[in-house]
Amino acid sequence: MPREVSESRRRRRMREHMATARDDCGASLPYEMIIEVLQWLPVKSVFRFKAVCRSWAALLSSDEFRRLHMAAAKAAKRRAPPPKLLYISPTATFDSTAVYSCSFSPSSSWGRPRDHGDLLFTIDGARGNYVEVVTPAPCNGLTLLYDALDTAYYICNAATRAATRLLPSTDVACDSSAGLGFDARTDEHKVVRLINGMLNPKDLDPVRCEVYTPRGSYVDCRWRPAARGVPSSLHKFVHAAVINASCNKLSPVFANGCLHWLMTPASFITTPSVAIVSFSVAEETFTCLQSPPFWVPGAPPTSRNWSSGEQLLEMDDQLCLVRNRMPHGSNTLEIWKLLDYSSGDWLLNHRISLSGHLARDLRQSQILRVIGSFGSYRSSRKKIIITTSMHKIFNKYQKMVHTYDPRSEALETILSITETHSTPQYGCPSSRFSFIQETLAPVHTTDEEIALSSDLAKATREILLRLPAKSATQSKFVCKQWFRLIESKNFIQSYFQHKNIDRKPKVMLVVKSTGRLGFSFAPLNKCLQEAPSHSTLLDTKVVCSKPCHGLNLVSTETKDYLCNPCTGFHRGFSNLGPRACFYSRQ
Amino acid sequence: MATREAGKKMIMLKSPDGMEFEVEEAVAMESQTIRKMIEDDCADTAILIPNINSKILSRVIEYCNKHVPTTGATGAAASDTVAPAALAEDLKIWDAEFIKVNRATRFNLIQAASYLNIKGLLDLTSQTTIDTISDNSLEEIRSFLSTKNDYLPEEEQTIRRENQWAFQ
Repeated sequence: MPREVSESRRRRRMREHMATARDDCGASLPYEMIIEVLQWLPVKSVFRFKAVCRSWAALLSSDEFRRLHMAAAKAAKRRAPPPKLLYISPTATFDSTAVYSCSFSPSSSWGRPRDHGDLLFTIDGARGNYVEVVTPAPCNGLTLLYDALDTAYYICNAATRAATRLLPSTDVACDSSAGLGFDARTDEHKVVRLINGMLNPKDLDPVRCEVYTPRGSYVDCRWRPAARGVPSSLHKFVHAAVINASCNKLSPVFANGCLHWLMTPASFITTPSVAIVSFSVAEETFTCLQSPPFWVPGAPPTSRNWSSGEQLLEMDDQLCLVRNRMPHGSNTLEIWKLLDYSSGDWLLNHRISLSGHLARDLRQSQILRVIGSFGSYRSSRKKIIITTSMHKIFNKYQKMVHTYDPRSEALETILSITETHSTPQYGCPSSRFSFIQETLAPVHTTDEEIALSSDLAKATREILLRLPAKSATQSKFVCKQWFRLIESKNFIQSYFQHKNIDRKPKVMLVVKSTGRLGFSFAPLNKCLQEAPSHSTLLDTKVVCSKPCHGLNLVSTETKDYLCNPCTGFHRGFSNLGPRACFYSRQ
Repeated sequence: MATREAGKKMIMLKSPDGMEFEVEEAVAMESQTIRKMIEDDCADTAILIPNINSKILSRVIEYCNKHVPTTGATGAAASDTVAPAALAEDLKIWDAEFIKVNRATRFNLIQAASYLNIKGLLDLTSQTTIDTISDNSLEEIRSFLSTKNDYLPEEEQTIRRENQWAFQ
């Protein structure tokens, strides 16, 4: 009933909207029909047609139109343009992330795979070689990215070229895993994060779940605990799921309104009868799903290897499990489909043979992931997308994207690129691939981003960049906006670049001070003007290091200090030892 | 259309300009609007279709005749074999030929499809229109749909700048 009410209200609002528009546009086609036609537009044309006239701009930007357009896109799946691959890569300066698209059609140059795509847009401040794609396949048009250095998530819609940074969670944990889900009832996306609290004895719950709902401006957006929490009976399973997800970089998969995390038998003494933790995005409740037939419940795990070679996958709107048989000596990939949630029946859907010559790259790769499929099996154009990663040297990895045609069993390499990752030696590199869905799914910018993108804010920022460091720090307390500007992600970096390009360094001397530190910094010219006296010259042993990214390490006999001579910032450490030295993570 | 086959119920459709069309009930029921009328027993003698002239109505009936699902002995059995794929291909070619009409007729067809609630025809006509206009320049679109540009030049520039990627 309420659905009908809202539907009629929506229609009425549309009609009012049209009434105002009709006066301006003497259309040969009634306005209702124009909407009927425009909902079929490609996303790019929607943005272009905003420049046709005012009423079109109002219509094409409205939430009503967005809903119609998304519904049409879903209904007309078959006629949708061929999907495109999405991949992210650091920009040349490594301080931002570039988002590229690339066609899935085989490249023409003598069957050699492409080595680059088309640049769509860049996400400023997301530090390139730490950023990963969390969602293997877009969830209702949106892709979730994660900046591991900043522990911040980004949501982006590659079709509309919009991206936003979510407010970081206050719950910092070394093991966590997040996924993106969609609640059809409220028409909202939710970011769901599972956290392993076992390592921190202060925490009361060994596993926690928090949820973030990105909404429009002026709405309170932050991470909150999931409505019902994690039931204690499922703690061990959720714990196993988080560990598997974070160790093997396996993101949860969204299908049938639920996010699914896979466990690995190696987490348990005996293989459990359930394999998957399922979280209902609308209800915010947890359940476990039955393990596939090749798990033997009750028996000790066949392998103690942390990476079981299994992963989850959403294909044709159903939950699937990919079983990589290569570690077990067979050159096949199996895709099992979960037929029924309650009975837990699994069916072997595809068996992909990787024995041919073309499959060499797949066999040799350390990481192989099936990220999704496109086209329908009936239309004989179905292709399964497989990504691989091969370690080359130090921090260089060769990443490839292949498509597999289940009918002809043909394997094609679409893209082959070399990537730099800043992962520690033990971890496996994260995924940087997904694909693009042509939808108008909204990316809500946060209040902070809106505040920082106004013209006034941009001008203020330019001025603040030119202030001496001390004044810039003090300016934080002028107002909230200035505070945000100065504390924002890339201000410090821009400031550093601004001050140190073509400029001579500022020379300062370490002098005696009556303060608690016993030393302070004084500009060289000031010292030269004054005659040296006992009140300024040091009489204790103080060693000052060379600056490293604006900070100096100062060691006294009792303590070590990290200092910024320009702002007066300092932090004390009780003696780091004789070998204290700097190293920076750029 | 004149021959009346045994066991097939016929429906009379009237256009506002006085023309009458006798069609099989199954064909008429391709239109959800008419289906509802028949199911509600509001269609004893003839159904008057307002707003749609005989020329357009005849074309709509032509479309429905082609798209009505084949019923009877072959219907259910045939749907799982290779035949439907070929049939669908045939239908696609026929559709492409059918929609080769001038702008005014196409607009009338869109309106008729919307009023009569014939999803397939609405999809076909809308999609064809979109295919025609989505790559056109803004000026062409304005003239195509008789829409006036009510932006000030600088406003249009701003909009273009904000969505620059869409114009590349």
